[in-house]
Amino acid sequence: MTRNTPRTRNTPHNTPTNSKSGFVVKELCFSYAQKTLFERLTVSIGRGEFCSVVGPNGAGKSTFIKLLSRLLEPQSGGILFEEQLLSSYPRRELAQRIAYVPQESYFALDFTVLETVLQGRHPYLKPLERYHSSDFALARQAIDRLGISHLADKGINNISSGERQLAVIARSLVQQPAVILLDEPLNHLDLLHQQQVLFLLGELHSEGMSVVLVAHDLNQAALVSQRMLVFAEGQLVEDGKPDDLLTPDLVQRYWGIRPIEGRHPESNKRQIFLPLK
Amino acid sequence: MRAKLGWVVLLVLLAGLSLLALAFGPAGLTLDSQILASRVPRLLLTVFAGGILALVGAALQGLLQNPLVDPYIIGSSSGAGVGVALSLLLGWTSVIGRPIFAFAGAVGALFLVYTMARMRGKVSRLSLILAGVAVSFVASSLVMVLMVLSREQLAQIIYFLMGSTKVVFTPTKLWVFVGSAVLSFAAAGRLLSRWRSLDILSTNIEAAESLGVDTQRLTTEVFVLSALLIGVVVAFAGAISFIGLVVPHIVRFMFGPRHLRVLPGSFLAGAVLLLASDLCLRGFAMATGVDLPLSVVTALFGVPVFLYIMRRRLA
Repeated sequence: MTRNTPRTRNTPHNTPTNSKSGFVVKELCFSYAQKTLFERLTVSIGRGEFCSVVGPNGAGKSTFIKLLSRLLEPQSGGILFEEQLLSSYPRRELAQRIAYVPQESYFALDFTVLETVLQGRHPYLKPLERYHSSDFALARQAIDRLGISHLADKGINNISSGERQLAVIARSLVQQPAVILLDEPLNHLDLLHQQQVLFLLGELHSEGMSVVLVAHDLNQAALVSQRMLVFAEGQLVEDGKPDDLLTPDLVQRYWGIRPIEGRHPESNKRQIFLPLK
Repeated sequence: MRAKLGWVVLLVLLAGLSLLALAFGPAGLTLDSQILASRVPRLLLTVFAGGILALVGAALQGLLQNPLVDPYIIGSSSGAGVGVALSLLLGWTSVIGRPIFAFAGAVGALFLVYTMARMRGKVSRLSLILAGVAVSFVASSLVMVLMVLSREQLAQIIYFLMGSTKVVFTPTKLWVFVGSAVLSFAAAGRLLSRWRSLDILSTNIEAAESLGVDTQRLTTEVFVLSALLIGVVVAFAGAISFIGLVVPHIVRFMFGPRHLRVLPGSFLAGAVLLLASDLCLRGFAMATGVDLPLSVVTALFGVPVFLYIMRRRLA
């Protein structure tokens, strides 16, 4: 059942209109020392798509976007990005196009929030070149956009973990990427900031950025994304529109729990609820 | 504001102490040309050794993400110790022989540490630290063996291992020193040019890579340059401890964590601290007739400053 080809429920999204210019993953194999994850994974993510990546723990979601951001190299098979092998890009050039927001961030040195966000300009600057006023302007703009301008001069280790995550997202915006990959970015955020980040991702998408969001919360993923990739045990098992996928059957099949079905009052999108008994 | 004041203070201190170092010594407060001929090289060596040790300490603390990293942790000074002990044992102790042996020992240790730390084509920060510590211990044991074998030169080896800038310079040795110093400044410049990458490395390695930093290349580059620089310092001035560990902390307190400031700031502050220590040493030698090794004084000098800053920061 969970073999190499994912179930497909929605043909238009399976063959994205612009698939050539986004990611094309072909026959990708990847395994850690102890565990094989992907065997001949094939999927493509077109330019400008908003994709959510979901699945139970250990399904390979984080590994998948690490492969897309070339933080991990596949053992075999290839990933094309903008029609070129991902591995053929110089790191700096890649950093101008793909931003990655890790699940957790730590900072060994106590930079200010502004200094941290400025680091996102690194791929555009020569070794000895100092930050220009335009870099500062971009950083301030990103900080504003995340609603943390009051923290700009605070030490990155002297703010809450949620605020730190917002700073890291701001830093990735300053990279001015074509694609943003986020690994469960909402983890440490309170409700207000969760809503803020989800809204921001929608905005970025409407501005033409590709967004790939690894999410634990299926409801949030279904609300914001256009396409949902479901991973289980290292396989891409489902690929389609969230509204078609988010059914009690599917959740039971891969998560082992049967939820109650419902609808989001505002958008009428499909949602699920945990039963109490 | 505080940063600007910091630069001024460091530069004034450096200038003042340099003048003192030229004017003051066992021969008293004199400035005749013969005495200057021995004081100028000593001054240059002190500034060079203190500055480079502190700068490398700052770069390695940044690279290895560990505030307790001392330049000697990467093993090159212990390697140099083996080189020197060997040169004494073999009797190849010409003025120029010793620095060459020391440098060769340092490079040998560097090669060993790097090879051992490399696994499946990759070098991690942790494996570098562990391999460095391991090589240091082996080298120390080797030095012990060599010390036992060459009992007469025991004092010389111990003296070398604790550092001194009271070095006899022949014209050839002076030229070799000047030449290595110029090359070392080029290497230090290269380290400085990596300031932003070092800044970014203080975050997760994955985040750093996704920001365009080639962490493997950076690790190799900073490690090799650091080990070579330490090799040069140790070859001429022995293993002076403490400067490389403590000065970067003092400088970060003054200038904040950005390496663009921390690296040059550490150079200045390291030079100042070693000059001050060397002056103390000269005063002590004048009063008692005994030459202390530099490491004794750097620790006595540095520890109170370090503790003061640590307590203020953590308070």
